[in-house]
Amino acid sequence: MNHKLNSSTDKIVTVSATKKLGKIVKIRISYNQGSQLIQTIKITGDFFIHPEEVIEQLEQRLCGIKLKKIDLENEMKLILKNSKIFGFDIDSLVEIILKACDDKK
Amino acid sequence: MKFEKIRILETGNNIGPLNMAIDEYLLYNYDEPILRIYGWSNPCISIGYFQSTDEVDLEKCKEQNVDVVRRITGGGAVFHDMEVTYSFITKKFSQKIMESYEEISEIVIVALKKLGLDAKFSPLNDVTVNGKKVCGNAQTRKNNTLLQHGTILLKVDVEKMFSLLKVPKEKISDKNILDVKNRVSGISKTFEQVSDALKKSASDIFSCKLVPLSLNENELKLCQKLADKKFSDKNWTFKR
Repeated sequence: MNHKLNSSTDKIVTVSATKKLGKIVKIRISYNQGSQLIQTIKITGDFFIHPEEVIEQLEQRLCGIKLKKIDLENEMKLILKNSKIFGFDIDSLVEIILKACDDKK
Repeated sequence: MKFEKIRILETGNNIGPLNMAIDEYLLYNYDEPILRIYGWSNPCISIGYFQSTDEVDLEKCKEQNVDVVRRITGGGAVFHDMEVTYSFITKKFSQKIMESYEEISEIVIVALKKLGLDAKFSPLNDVTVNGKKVCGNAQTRKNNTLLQHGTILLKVDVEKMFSLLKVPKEKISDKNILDVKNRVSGISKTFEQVSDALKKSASDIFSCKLVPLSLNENELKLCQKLADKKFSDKNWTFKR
């Protein structure tokens, strides 16, 4: 896991990866240390989501969401409600995000 | 699943962007089921829709004249070289993803059995022979149509493959890279043998006749345009 602290702001960039059901899920996330709000997030890996384009919506909609389990879960459930996912689930994605950010505290 | 007929499209060897463009063109423009069989005129790595290009050693690819292209399907990075690639496009398919993978991968499994190989489906999206992966598959569903494409490895240059692909440490876990390398294998058959077996297999499984299909000049121009505008575009390839 790599962390980078931008000293001029309180923005933290961190990456993390996990393997679920034989597929890799990686995230690269930046968030505001004070407000604990996500600023940017990229979710990559060899998983499958149908339809594929929902990943960009998910990444966009997670920006501004607080790094809290319930907030992340609710947003993900809303965006992914009509999608079929293989290789990760909402629980594991929330876990990897929180773990990446927790490790920085 | 039964079809009255399946169109057979053999497009020969093309470079990565055009191969991907032809698949996308078929997905949006044909109602009939199509089995497309093709190869690669230049070695190419295709990365899955969701992958980062960090999965690939781009400098080594450049040095070794290996193309890099992003697929419209998910899944992992694939080194396309000595292989037979197929796509199956259909408007009739199971809504259950696992079931549809199994149904369509049956074309490959029966084809390999016809060639004397003990092929098995390995969920979610692989086919193995003697426990080694010989075929990987990926799907997308667009325009009420399913496209599944996959590769059947004839021979594998494992050292070259793994010098171009960066295997994530999570895939290696506590085992070493040798284990990862040993998981893939070629089937030591010719392109023609596999291509013929795939066609016979599709006809047997779906109890249908096979009708040849060829793309006309205008369609080829549209595919080339799609290859140039999308699959050769760095904004697409490096979008993640």
